[in-house]
Amino acid sequence: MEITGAEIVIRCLHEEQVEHIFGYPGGAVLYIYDEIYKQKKFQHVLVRHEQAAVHAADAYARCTEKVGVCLVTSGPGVTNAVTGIATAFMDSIPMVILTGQVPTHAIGLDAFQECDTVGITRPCVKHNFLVKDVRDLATTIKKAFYLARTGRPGPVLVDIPKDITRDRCKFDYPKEISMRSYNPVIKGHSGQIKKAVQLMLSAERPMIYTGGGIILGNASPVLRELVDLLGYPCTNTLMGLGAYPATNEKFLGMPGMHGTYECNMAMQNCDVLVGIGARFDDRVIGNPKHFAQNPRKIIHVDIDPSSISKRVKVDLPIVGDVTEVMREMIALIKESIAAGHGTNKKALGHWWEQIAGWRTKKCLAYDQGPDVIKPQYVVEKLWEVTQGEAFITSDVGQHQMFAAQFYKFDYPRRWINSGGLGTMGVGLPYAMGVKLAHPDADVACVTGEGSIQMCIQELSTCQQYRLPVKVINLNNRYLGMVRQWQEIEYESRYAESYMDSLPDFVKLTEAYGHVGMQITKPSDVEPALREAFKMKDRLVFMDFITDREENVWPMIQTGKGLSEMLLGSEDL
Amino acid sequence: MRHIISILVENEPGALSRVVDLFAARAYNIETLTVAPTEDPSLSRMTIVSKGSDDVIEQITKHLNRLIDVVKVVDLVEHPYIERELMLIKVRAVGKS
Repeated sequence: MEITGAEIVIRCLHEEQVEHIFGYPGGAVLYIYDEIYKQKKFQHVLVRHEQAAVHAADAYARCTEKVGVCLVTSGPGVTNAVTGIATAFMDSIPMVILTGQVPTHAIGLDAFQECDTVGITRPCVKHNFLVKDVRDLATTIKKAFYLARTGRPGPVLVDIPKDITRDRCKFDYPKEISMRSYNPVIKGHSGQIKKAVQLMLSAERPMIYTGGGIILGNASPVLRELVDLLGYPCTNTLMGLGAYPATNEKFLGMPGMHGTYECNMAMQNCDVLVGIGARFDDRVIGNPKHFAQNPRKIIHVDIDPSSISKRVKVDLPIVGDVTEVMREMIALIKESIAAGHGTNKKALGHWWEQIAGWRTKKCLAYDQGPDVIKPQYVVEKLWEVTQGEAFITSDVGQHQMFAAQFYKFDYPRRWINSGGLGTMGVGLPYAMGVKLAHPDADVACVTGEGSIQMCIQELSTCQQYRLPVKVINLNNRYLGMVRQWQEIEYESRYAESYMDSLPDFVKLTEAYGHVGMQITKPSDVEPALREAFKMKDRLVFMDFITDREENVWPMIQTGKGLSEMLLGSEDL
Repeated sequence: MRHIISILVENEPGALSRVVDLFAARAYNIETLTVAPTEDPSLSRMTIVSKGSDDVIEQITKHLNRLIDVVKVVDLVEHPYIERELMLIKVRAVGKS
């Protein structure tokens, strides 16, 4: 039987067992929406702006092991979605973006709501397709899901002209797909793994540094086994938080620009650095020349060969799936231990003593007085009140760093933020995506008064779908991170970092039908949080009026090295 | 250094654009470029000559391999190779004897 292209799209999504899609209708996708109307297997979530549809689908993928799906119309639907697509691309998030396009005969004629979608999105997708024949549609969607979730994951876009959704053909969804030009490496090179293990076991000052790859590769349990077997210190990057439990002694905190003193000192002074599913990026390594001053051997495990030796020369590269490679490492280490060798316990003891010394700096300490709320205090209390079990999304800025530093993530996929692109405005749509995937879990969006206003219209979506997330607005009446840089690097000239005439967030939230609270006193922080989280079925917007000029410490200034941290204003 | 990169790609619309974008995004100039289908018409071969720092060219090569349409990438300069140039000249003749 022949069915329409629009029906084929729906059937493909059913075959992929999609449960939620996020989107916004428009002319070019009306046939598809008509078929969505007729089916019940998945829920469509209508956002208020296409950017939020992509962010929500992105978060949905980040907090589950699924591929996020969104659907937008041609032209402005696509251009609005681009920020979301680029955000997902930078963090390697598996997503399928379905976009409407003007009919094939109108392409290139400056038709209404036409844009060159595959051209505009080419640099920020793993791959994209323009479907020119309805008979290619099912295979193309199959390929899109396959490409999105395998190898180094990423967003894949399928552009579907309107006439293709009306044309008919037989539906045949391929069970398997293979592409001669796409063969991601899964198994690491055994010889390299053997050498890596020898190097790891001979280390006197080892350091294990892991990133988002552990989360994406569902490798957290294997990482825990590896770290515990070796007894080595471990750090997770901003993208990798939760891979190793933050409350464990062996966890040294986050590395990099706003990482902990002990972690950055260990990264700089170790003799063997084992990077797994991390990409040595500029916010983590600081100045690569300064980083290279200390001699150390670097092992790098990554599924993507183009990540290796990109910013930092690596001595021992291993291309492969992080789980597979770590499993092989664990087997070899166990053999060595059984044969009476294992790690260098004596040297390791000294190394831990040195780390204990660095820890006494207490680099994250802050002083919560009786009058003004410190942003760090809010996050610490949030962690206590939710018992470390909540899903936390964040926007981008100081509040993001405070959340990363002070919410101790013990599980993977609980910390959802835009690490690579650093997109302000993701927090609320991220929280929506997470809440739909985990309706019974506590979901909080840690944000600031700058970021939240970039996608605040989604409070309306939260009302429509009854998404009772908690918004933790750390309101310092400044674009905090910009102001911090201006204070430190631009002699306190606060150019356009002050936001005049903020809305009354409580009234605004109430206008959308939610609960608003304003908290101004430190003593009210914890009771207010408890009250908010008791309201299981209500979205609560908590506007915390915080210290205006609090800074995120430690901080590594642009061009400086990992061990050149500023620990507070006294270092300026 | 001068590099001659030979790329085997799927003969698909947009494949050339994906390849060229990697150079353009880094503001690297392509000196010469040829593209033609191979004996297998579903594949095309692109030969690109570009000058640039070895690090950047290596990064471009890795990213070329990452493109879904790309089957194989070889930097010919890394191996012994023979280079030939052919010039075709069009002459406008006035036809007077």
